[in-house]
Amino acid sequence: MSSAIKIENLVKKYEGGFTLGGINIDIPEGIIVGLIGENGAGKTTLVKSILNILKIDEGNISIFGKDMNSYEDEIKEDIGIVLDDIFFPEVLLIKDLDSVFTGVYKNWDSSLFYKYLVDFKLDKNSKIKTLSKGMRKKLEIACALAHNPKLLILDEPTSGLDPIVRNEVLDIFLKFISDDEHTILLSTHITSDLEHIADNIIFINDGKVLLEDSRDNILEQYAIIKCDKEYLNSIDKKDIVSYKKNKYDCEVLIKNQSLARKKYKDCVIDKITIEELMIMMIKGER
Amino acid sequence: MLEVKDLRKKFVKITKDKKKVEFYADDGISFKAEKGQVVGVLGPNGAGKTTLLRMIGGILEPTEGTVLIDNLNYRDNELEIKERIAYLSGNTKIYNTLSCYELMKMCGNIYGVSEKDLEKRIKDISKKLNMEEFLYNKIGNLSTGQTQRVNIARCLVHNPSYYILDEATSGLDIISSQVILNFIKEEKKKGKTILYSTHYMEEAENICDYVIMINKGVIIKEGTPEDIKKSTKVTNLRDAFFALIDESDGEVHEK
Amino acid sequence: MIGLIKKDLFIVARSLRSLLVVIMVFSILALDGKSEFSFFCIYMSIAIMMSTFSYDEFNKSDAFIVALPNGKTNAVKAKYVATLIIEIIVLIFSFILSVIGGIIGKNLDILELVELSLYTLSGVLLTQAIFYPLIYKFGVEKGRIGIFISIFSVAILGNVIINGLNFKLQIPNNVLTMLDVAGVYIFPMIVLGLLVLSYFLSKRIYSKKEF
Repeated sequence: MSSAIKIENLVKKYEGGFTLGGINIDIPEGIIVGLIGENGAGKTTLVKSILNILKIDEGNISIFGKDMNSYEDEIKEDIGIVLDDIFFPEVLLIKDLDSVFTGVYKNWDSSLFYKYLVDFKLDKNSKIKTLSKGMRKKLEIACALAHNPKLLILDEPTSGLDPIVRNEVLDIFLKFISDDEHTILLSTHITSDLEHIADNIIFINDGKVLLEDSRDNILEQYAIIKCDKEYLNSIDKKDIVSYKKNKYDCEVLIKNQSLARKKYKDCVIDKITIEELMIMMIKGER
Repeated sequence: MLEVKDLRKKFVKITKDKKKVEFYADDGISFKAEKGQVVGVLGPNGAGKTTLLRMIGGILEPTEGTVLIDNLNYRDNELEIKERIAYLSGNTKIYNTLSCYELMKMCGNIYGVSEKDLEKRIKDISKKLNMEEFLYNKIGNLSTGQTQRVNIARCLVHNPSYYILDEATSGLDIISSQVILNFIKEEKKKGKTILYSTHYMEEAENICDYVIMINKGVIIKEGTPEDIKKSTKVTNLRDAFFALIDESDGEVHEK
Repeated sequence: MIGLIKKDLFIVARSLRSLLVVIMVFSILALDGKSEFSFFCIYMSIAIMMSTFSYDEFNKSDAFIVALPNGKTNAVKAKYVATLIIEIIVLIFSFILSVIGGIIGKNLDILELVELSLYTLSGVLLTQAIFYPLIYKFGVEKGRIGIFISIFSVAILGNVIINGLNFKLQIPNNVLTMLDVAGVYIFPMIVLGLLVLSYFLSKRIYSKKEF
């Protein structure tokens, strides 16, 4: 399976001191990859660096096997983007966008765009300014899809959407990757969405990749041991990824669930959600 | 106590055939919120939640109906009401060139908080919300999570009894959202009344004592989360939401 | 690039309503005499130019544009071209108004109006040449300050030079006449040259920007 996105040793330094550093990621074609992390961890920086909105200090990015430095414009014809709070001026009407995008993407399909407008119940004569947040997101998604891209790069595409619309949008994403040639990189803080649709998860914290694995592997391997404070000391330090001391009990994040179930037979071991994993890895002590 | 009676809001829209069409964003909403209660306002995009909260917050004037806060109404006692409430929307842009301290001071001055009280309150609030390290930084330089804490801080300055929070955790990661949810729980313990609108059903289940579900401008269901789950025969609020919206729309919806 | 040009033209078209009052006032003035002609042109063009930048900034459109194919390479070119299109439209509009004004006032002098148009066009292009790199470098808000400073400095400097020339040099009459006649053609060409330089400067500034 070839790579949709391959990132080697990407480094981006900010003046204020934050560094997105030493990122190595390989995203194969045909899947949905969820990018998670705290606000400020570097998710948006990474997405912007991939798209060359931000200049990287070191590293190589290749998309569809082609180097971004040399084939940037060609590659971008096949990428659909939805960014967070970043779009064309809101004084424009929706139908103006059709005209603008026709002059931007070689493969822009006006009839497909209008079909999405009908599906999303968007009125082509509305000013973008008048749309609610959810409607605007749907519009941006329509724009990202209407030129038949091979890759979708999305930064918080479901933020601000109610559960019903969120589901509709996620269904659209699932349909998009139903053949093996399409790929999605989805950065979001709504981890519950990823539980439904992500194949792989990349977890970024403080500018580094903390975890990169398939969703299934993660949910199978990681678990939380709930025990009291005395028991905490008897757990093998090597097995502990991080732990949290609460008022009445402790929660311990462990990596090898099957082993732990055998080793620590007499305590409660809970399955984990991606959200809990995130909290434990960020807030837990080591 | 906060009481909403038969609230309606009419808007006029111009369709593409240049016809003027009237529609009611909110059509006859009535409910009560008691002291120390967190009331969740849920519903799909466009249901009329924001319009409702704006009317309760005194930002939008209702076409019909009344909003009573501590038995005061906006027509006669607008200032008194506004002194008692705080309105926070997930989408509020705040002054990026001010520091947190300056913003809180400004809000305190607007609400007529005395200088002495103000200084002390700013100190207490910044300690409680872990803002001490960036209290004097410009808001424009803060991260999203920090900005939202500033938003909460400026609400606390005038010591309101009522909080109206419209998608206050929108755009925030899990950890920053928890800060807000913990804050709500604490205020509730102090006996404050909180109206909380959100798209995250898990949050609503976590903190709301009472929930009203709105679709197309009317309340389609209200009750405690437990009641709602029982009557729709589901195990969580999210499923209840889907079930109720489908019913009221009359559409068959695939999950 | 066509897409980005259209974007700016749409911005102008959709925000024309707010400019309508200004257009009306100046249209009435233009019908009366010729001097307002230039002022109208330059003022309108500047206002329109600034607004496209403001809208882009407010919606962070530059970050979006740079992520589009050929976005980075064409952004500045499209902006300059769109501005030229708008300037020419405003110029034609003002010209027609002045012709009507001339017919009403019975003092129509087409040749003089054409000459005035060329000078006005040069003035507009000169402002564009100076403003744009400043706006690209410093953004709209801070760019405005830079613009005022540069206008005042040019005006003051120009004043000093001209006064200096008047006292010290006696320019022979035939040179003056030649300047007067040829100036109509020389001045626009100089300005076009400056505009081209301005374009390359803006392009360089833009290519170094991050969003």
